[in-house]
Amino acid sequence: MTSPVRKAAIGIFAAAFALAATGSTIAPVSAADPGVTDTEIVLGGSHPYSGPASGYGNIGKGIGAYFSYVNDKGGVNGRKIKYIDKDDGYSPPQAVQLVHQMVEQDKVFAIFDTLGTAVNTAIRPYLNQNGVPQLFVATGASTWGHDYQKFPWTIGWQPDYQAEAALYAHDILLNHPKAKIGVLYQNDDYGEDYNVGLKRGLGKHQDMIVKMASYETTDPSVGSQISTLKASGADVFLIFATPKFAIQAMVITAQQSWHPTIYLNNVSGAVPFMNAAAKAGGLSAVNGVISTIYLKDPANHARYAGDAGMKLYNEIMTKYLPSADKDDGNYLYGVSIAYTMCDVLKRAGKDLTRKKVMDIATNLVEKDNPWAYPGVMIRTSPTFRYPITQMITAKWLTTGWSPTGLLVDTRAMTMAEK
Amino acid sequence: MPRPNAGLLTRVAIAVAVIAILPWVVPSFLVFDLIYVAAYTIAILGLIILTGMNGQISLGHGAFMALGGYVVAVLAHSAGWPYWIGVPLAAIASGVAGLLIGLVALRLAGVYLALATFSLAVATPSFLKHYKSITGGFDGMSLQPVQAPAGVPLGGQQWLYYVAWAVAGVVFLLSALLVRGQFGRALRALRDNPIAAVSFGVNPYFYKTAAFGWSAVLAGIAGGFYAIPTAYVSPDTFTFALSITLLIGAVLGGISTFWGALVGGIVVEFLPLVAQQINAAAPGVVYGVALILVMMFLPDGIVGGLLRLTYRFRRAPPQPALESSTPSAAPVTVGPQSRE
Amino acid sequence: MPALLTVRNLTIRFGGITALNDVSFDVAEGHITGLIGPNGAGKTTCFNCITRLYQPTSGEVLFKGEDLLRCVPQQIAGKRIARTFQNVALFDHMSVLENALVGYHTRFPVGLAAWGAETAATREAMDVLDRLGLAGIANRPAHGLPFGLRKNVELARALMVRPELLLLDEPAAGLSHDEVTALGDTIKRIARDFSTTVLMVEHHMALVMRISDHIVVLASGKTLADGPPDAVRANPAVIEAYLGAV
Repeated sequence: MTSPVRKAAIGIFAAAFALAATGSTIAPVSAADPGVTDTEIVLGGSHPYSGPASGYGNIGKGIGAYFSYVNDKGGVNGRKIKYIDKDDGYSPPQAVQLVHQMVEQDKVFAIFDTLGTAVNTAIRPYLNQNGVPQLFVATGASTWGHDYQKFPWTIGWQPDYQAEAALYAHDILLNHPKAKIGVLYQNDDYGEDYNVGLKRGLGKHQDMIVKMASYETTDPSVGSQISTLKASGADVFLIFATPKFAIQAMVITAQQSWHPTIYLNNVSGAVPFMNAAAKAGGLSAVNGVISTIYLKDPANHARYAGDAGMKLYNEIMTKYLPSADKDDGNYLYGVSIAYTMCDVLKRAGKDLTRKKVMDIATNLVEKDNPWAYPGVMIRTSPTFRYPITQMITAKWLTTGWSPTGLLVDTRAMTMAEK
Repeated sequence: MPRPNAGLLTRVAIAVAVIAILPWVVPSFLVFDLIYVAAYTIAILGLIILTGMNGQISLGHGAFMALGGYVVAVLAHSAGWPYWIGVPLAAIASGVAGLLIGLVALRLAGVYLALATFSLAVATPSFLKHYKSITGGFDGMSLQPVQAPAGVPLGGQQWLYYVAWAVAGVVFLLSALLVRGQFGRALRALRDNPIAAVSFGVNPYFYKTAAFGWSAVLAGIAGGFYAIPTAYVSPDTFTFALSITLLIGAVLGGISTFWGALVGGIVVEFLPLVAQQINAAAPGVVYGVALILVMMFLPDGIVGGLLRLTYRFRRAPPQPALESSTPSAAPVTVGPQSRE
Repeated sequence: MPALLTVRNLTIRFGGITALNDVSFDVAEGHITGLIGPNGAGKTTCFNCITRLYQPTSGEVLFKGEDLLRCVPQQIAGKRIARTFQNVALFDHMSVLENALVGYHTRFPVGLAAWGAETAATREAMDVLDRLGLAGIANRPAHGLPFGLRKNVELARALMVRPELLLLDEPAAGLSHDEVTALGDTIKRIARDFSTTVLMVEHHMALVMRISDHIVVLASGKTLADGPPDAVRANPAVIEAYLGAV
C-alpha cells in the first residue's frame, strides 16, 4: 500500500467510528417495546405516492388527517400518535427497505396500513420474524385472514375479494336464477381471487358461467373482450377489474348496445369512477350497475346529510386536508381504518406492548366505527381474522349507490371455506 | 499502455476499505440498504459497458434483472437449491437471453433499440403473471432469509452484504480485464465510429452481441441480489420503472467510467429516500429536480464532475486508466479545429 | 510491375444514378497511384467498393488475385488493406494511442493471447506515432486535436494495419501549403518505410503530380485516362475535364 492509501484508510476508520459513536447515542434506551414513550406512539406505514397505483396515496393522507385530529384532541390514552408514512412506489423491494428502516432506525411500535398485496407479502416475513405487528393491511387478498398461523403478527381489515365475489354469486342465484353469466377479469391473482369466490358462491351452478374473458393491465382497451362476452349470449356481466378497465368496460358495453345486468367489484365503484363512466358512456352505461359497499359513501350527500359520522369526516377533512376532494372514498377509507387503529390502541390501555395490541386486534368487536356502513361491525377472533365480512349490495341510481336488500355477512361462507 | 496506476490502486483500496468497514459502523438498516446498492451497482456496471462503452441504449435491463431474480427464486422456492448455485445459474440464464436479445439489437440502433428494449421491460410483469405455475403469478414467491454459514460470526444480513460486495468486486475485476486492451477498444471504436471500426476489422456482430450478453450477465446477477435481501419476488418487483432507474443511475453516476456504477448505485438507492426526508409530500418532485440539476451542471455524471474538479485542482489532466474512455472527463482542448 | 489491385468493369448504381460506369484500372505493387477527377467523378465511391462499404452492381475487384467482392467489410483490414477517410473518421472519445491501436485489431492473436500482445502492439503504435510526430500527444483524446493532427492520427491508425495497400482519401484536403509539402514527403517516406503500395484520391494536383508513379483519371463515373503523370498532364481530355485547372 502506498502512503496515501494508508492515510485515507486511517481517515475513514476515524470518520466511521465517529459516526458509529453518534449513531449509538441516538438509539433510545428502553426495556419496553420500541416506539412507545409516555407521550408518543410511533407507527410506520407506506403508500404508493408515486408509481402506477398513486391514486391510492389518498388513503395515507386520510390516515394522516385522522391522526392529526386525534392528536389535537389529546391523543390516545395521553399519547400522541406519530405516523411515519413513506412512499413505496408500489414496489416490494422499496417497501422492504422502508420497513427495515422504520423498524430498525425509527423504532416504530407497529406497521399500520401498508397498501397492496405484493408489498404486504414482501414485508410480512420480516415483520413476523421480528414480532412487529403488521396491522390492517390495505388489500383484500384472502391470505391475510387465511395464513394467520404462519404469520400471527399480520392482520387485514377490508372484506376479502373472494367473499365479495361470493356475495355476487349469492345475489345472482337469488335474483337471476336463469342467468347466463359473462365475466371480465384482470389476468392475475387479484382477478383470480374474485373468480375463486364466484365459483365457490355458485357452487353446483357453475355452468351458469358461459364465458370468461381476461385482460392484461398492459392492454390498451377491453373492447374485444366485451365483443366476445356479448357474442356469448351472456345476460349477466361481472366486472372484476381495476378502475381504469372497469370504466372502459361499462362504457363499451353501452356503446355496443349490449344490455346485461352488470355487477362491478367494490374497488372500482368509487363515485369519481362511476361519474367518469357516465360522462363517457351516458347515464345508461352506469344506471342499474350492482356493486357492494361496506363503508359510507362520502359522495352521497343526500343520504348522509344528517349523519354524525359524515359530519365529523367533513370537519376533519376541512381542517386537515382543506384542498382535498372530499367525495373521494379513498380518504374516507383512510379515516375509517385509522379509527380502528386508534380504537385498538385505546383498548390496549396505558401499558402498551406489541403482544397486547395483537391480542386486542384479534379479539375485536368494533360496532361504532363512524364511517362503516350502518350495521357493519369489525369483528375478529384469534382464529378468524377477517375484520370486515359484512357487505350490502347497492345499485347505482344516477348520482350514487342505493343500498338494495339486506346487509349480508359472508362470515359463514368464509368459515365454510376454511 | 493503460496499466492500473498508483492513483487507481489508491482509489480501489479506499473503496474496498470503506466497503469492508461500513457494516460495523452504520446502523443495520443501512447495511440492508447497501446490499441493494451492490445490486444496483452491478446492474449499472453492465449498462455502462453496454451503453457507455458500446453506445447501445437499453431501457430494458430490468427484464434481465427479473430473469436473474426469478431464476434464483424459482430454484430456491421450488427445488430448494441454495442461493450460491442460483446466482451463477441466474447469470448464465440472463447471459444467454442477453445474447439472443443482442442479436435482435444488431438490427436496431439508437432510439429504436431503446424502444424495443423498453417494450421488453414493459412486457416482463405480464409475462411473469402469465406463467404462474412457474413464477407464482401475481402473488410472487417468498424466499428464505439468508443465514451466515456455521462458524462465521456474522448476522445473516451482514453476511449477505459481504457476499454481495465480494461478488460486485469480482464482477468489477472481470469487467475491467475484459474491457482493457483490444476488446474494450473494439467496443468503444464501434460506439464512436462504426464505419471506421469495421474498416479496421472490428466485427460489429461479435462485439455488440458480446457486450449485450455480458451486460445481461451482470443484470442477472444483480437481479439475484435484488431478490435475496427482499426475500420475495413478484411482478411488481421488476416493473419498467426499474429499467429506467438503472439508466438514470448510469447517467447520473457517469456513463463512461466504472466508478459511475458505484456512484450511480448509491444515488438510485438513496436519492428517493433522501427526497422523502426533504419533502414527504412530493418526493417525486425533489427526485426530478435533483435529476435535472445533475444533468444541467454535471452532463458527464457525478464522477465526470468530480474528475473535472480534481483536474482543476491539480492542474494536470487525469491519466487514462479506467477513465481512458471518458469523453469529457479530460477537458483538454488544444484550440479550435483549424482548417486553414 | 505486377498488379497488386485490379479493378475491372466496376459499375455501381444508386437508384437511377450510375456512380461508376465500367471502371477498370490496375494498381501496381510498390507504386503510388493517384486517383483523380472532378467532384462527383466517383473516386470515393470506388474506395468504398474496394473496402466493401458499397456493393457494386457488377464488376470485379481483385487483390493479389483474390476477389474482394466476396468479403464483408470487417475482413478487408485482415487482407492488409487500410484506408483513411475523406471526412476524418476518428474514434473521438479515445486517445490518439488507442486510435492507433485499433489499427492493430486484426493482428492481435485470438483469445487470451491477445493480452500478451498488448505490450508489443503498444510499442509498435508508439513507434508509428513517433514517426508521424504524434508521440507527445499519445494520451490526448482525439476529439480536441487540430485538423492536421487528426489527419495524421488517421494515417497512423492505417499504418498500424501494416498495409500492403494503403488507400488515402484526400490526404491534403484542409491542409495549409506548407503542410501539403510536408505531406508529400511523408507519403513517399511511409510508402518506402512500410513498403506499402498507395492508392490516393486527391484534388491537389501539384501533390499528385509530384509523388505519383501512375495516375488514373475518373470523370462522371468513367475512366478518362490512365498513365504516368506526364502523359496524363498532356492528355487533352483530362485538360478539358478540369477546364484547365491543371
